[in-house]
Amino acid sequence: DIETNLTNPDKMIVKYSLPKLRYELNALEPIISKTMLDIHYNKHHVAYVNKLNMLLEQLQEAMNKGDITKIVNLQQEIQFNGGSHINHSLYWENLSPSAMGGGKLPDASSKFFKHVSTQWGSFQTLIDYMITRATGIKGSGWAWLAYHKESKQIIYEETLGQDTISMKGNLIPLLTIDVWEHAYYIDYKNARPQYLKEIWNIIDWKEVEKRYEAAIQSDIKLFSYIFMNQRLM
Amino acid sequence: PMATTGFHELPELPYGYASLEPFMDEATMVVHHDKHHAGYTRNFNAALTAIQAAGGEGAKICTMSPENILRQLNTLPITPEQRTPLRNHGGGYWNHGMFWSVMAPPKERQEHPTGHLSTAMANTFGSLDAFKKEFSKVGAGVFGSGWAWLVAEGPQENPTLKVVSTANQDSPFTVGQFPLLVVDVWEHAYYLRYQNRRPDFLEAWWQLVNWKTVDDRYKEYTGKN
Repeated sequence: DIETNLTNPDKMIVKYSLPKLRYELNALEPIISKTMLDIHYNKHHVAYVNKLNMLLEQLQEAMNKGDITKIVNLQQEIQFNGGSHINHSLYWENLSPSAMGGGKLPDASSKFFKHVSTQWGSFQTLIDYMITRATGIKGSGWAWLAYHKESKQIIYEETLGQDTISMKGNLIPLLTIDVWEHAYYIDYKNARPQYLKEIWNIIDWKEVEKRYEAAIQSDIKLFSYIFMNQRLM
Repeated sequence: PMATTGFHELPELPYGYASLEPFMDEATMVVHHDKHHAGYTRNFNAALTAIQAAGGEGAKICTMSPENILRQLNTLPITPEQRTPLRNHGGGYWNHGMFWSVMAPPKERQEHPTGHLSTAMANTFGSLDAFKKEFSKVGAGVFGSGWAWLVAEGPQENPTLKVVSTANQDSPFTVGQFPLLVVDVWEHAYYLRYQNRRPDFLEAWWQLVNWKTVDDRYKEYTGKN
């Protein structure tokens, strides 16, 4: 939960924490092993969040002191750790075990299904494209499906490092897949294509559809508000 | 492991897969060399084969050393589509070869720089420990995938030493620097044993550095023995 230090309003600091997983650590097997999920969630994501909280404390202090140099110097790491927290939170939320609907495509009568079919031909075409592109991401990054507010298209995008999709402007995240080596190395070693092939068995299309519905409904500000408050607690 | 042949060969490891234990585990060495490095080798050769097949001025690249390809990367008479795989796979091919060569089994290595390099390092960093601290800090600070380097730059008679990092498979050669020492900080270099604890990996890695290789490379750059 987000805590705020209400006893000292001058130093009100927001502390972020991991979203609770909707499934057990072993629930995504055999696509993602318990060991790998445990380390990814409880070690990597935790470390990013702890670092983010520490940096935001330092930022608050620097702002209180009017230390502009420090304020500027902190930005790169805040972007990295904050981006990582956003990315990983979205990632956990768009995965689920098959028992909870993971891997199951949306209903053919839904707006989302029709949009994808019209624009991409079929879900399989979209998936194959994402596999090819995500395989080709050099080094560390994320593969995305996003809704473009202006063109109203469902597009594929990539971000490098821990850059998050909002940094590309006008894009609302629908689906994200982590292609940092830590996301697949324990189970797949260097076989990123294999990881990308298997992960579709645990993609929670209900969640993706929910994000799409929110995206087409309102403007970006409202979506961000909903997203920030519900997902990052 | 399947031999990767073509314009460039996958170099054999100078030691056994388990020889760097306990600092670098055998399983990592097997996958890192036989899969990652082999993959870069194959893709590098494939890129050169395609350039050769395309004919024209670019074909002479196939007889260049990997170092020179990387040195001249941005001025080679090739298209951007031809350049990108050379940058990634040529870089990956050379970087990993150098990485194996700067390590040795803990008890067989030279544990300190000597001679001119030792003097230059003391002058630049103050002490070996201060250098290691700086190098580890840079290595730990690479966002995502990349490498940390000790490089020489500038005139042969009096080079500058620097600690730098590159992203993905980018090479210091491309910006006119000469690599002396390198560590791979892609997650695949340490993940199986260290997971996200990259600083722990870097601390352990110093137990593997064979300073003889670094001495020799400095001699190569300065021409001084």
